[in-house]
Amino acid sequence: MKSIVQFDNVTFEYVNHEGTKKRALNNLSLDIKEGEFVAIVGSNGSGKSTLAKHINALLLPKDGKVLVNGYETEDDSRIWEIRKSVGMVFQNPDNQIVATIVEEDIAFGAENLGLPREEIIKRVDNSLELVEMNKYRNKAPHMLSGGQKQRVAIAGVLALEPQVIVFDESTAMLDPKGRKEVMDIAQKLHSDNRTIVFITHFMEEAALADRIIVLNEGEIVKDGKPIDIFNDIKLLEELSLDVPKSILLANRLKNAGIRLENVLTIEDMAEELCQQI
Amino acid sequence: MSTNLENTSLPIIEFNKVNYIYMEGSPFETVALNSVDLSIKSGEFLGIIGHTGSGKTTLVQHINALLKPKNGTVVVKGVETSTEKSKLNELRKTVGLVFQYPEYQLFEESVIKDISYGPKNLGIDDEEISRRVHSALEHVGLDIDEVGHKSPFELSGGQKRRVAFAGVLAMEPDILILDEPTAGLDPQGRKEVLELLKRLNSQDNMTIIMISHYMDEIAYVCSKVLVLDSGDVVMYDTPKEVFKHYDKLTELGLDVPYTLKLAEQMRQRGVIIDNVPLTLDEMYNEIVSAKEAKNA
Repeated sequence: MKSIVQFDNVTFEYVNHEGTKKRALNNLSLDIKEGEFVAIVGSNGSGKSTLAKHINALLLPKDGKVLVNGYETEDDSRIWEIRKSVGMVFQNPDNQIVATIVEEDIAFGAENLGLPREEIIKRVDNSLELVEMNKYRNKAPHMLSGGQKQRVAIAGVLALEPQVIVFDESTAMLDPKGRKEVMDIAQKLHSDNRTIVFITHFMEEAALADRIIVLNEGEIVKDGKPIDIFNDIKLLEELSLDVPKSILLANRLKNAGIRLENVLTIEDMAEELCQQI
Repeated sequence: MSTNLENTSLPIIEFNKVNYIYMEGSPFETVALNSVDLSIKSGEFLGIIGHTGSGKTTLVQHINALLKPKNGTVVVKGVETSTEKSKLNELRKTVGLVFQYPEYQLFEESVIKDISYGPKNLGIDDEEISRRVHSALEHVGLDIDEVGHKSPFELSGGQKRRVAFAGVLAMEPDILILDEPTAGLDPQGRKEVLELLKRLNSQDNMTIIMISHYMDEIAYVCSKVLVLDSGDVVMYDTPKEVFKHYDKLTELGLDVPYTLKLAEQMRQRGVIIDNVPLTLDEMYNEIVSAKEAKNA
């Protein structure tokens, strides 16, 4: 499979209020393939958002390089191509909405690309369809729920037809229903062969990815399939990350002679439990 | 913080047939509270659940008279919120309200100044303010020497939220209301907030009212749970009694704690978990006894 996002020994430093340097990414290397669904987890300050912002050149590495579709993010002549191919969805939907009508908001980015009117209309229609917000197209965004607003923000990104979509804690401010709406869309886009980078604190969400990357202090400490990451309870606890409840329970049930193999989802957990008791 | 008037068995907050309507007479008219009757005891840790638009925030804003009922009465520590205007200041000292994302409301140039702001407006003397600031920061687990003179904006997200909590605690309220206090925090931050609230409830005997979407948190900390739907009180009982209504809660678009979701999935596969396990420990015991029953 073709690489779409590559980090090659990337280092990035912030200077804080007191003038001291803080290393947010430390010599980090990473290769994301086209069509992958990658979740990134890590506690606050582990470098997740810094990493995300490097993918579409919002931040540039101090050392090392980031390549998107083979183009270096530091190459000024390619920056618009890179930003067109990587869409970002942020945490707070209210900070991402610019227009007073849903469909105008979705058209905003596409209009800035200078596309012909017919093309913009087509893209807005398609994006609204994908996020299932068609019936709200003439509504005012402030009348929508958090989950719906976030879907509008996603549609705005989709209208740019990106290959990669980065969700930077896009579910953190939503209620459970809103979180599920956003997660469902991410999965749908993934099955549509788009590359998804999903940053989250919620392990039930990370469980749905093909691959999870665990960050700590700007470094990748583990990279693997969800089940392999979750089974490393010691690491998750050390990093103050949530251990999925199914994993905790399955681990305890070993003492009672109940051995469960596949406990990624609650349905799988129930299935195996019921076979054993 | 406590007076002789408080007795754990007496209601500290009472709603009598409270109605509230937003944008009355306009096309957007919405009934936010529909004849709500409610009695909350002193020392309770109440969780309020309901989907977006169910009336949760409207309800709690009645407790410190930010909103007043269209009909009916709200009585807090014997003070009726809509009639006794002269006592509103007293009421607002009694009821501390922490909004969603309270860290967005920090504004002072230092942590100490930010926390002092409320007590200063009450006209409290400097010595007492200093005592309260120290005590509030200690409660939220922040070191005054380390962060006191820093700008709140230099702190991490979790620390900022704790400073915002400290600002409300410095008012030394008897009743603390929090709207989604753990939203947007990482797992460690969420855990710290919940432990803080448990301490305030058990050690400082504060009555706590918490709105949350996280049912595992509600099951973990609350002594009572109130379920709202379209402005109606649907259930008001202990977590065990409320969460056993799996179907009803799901119908209302609400989540249930992990253990009950698992029990329901097992039930659908023919294994019945009788009791209502709210914690992993309880679930573990239920599974082990189900296994033993089968083997016996």
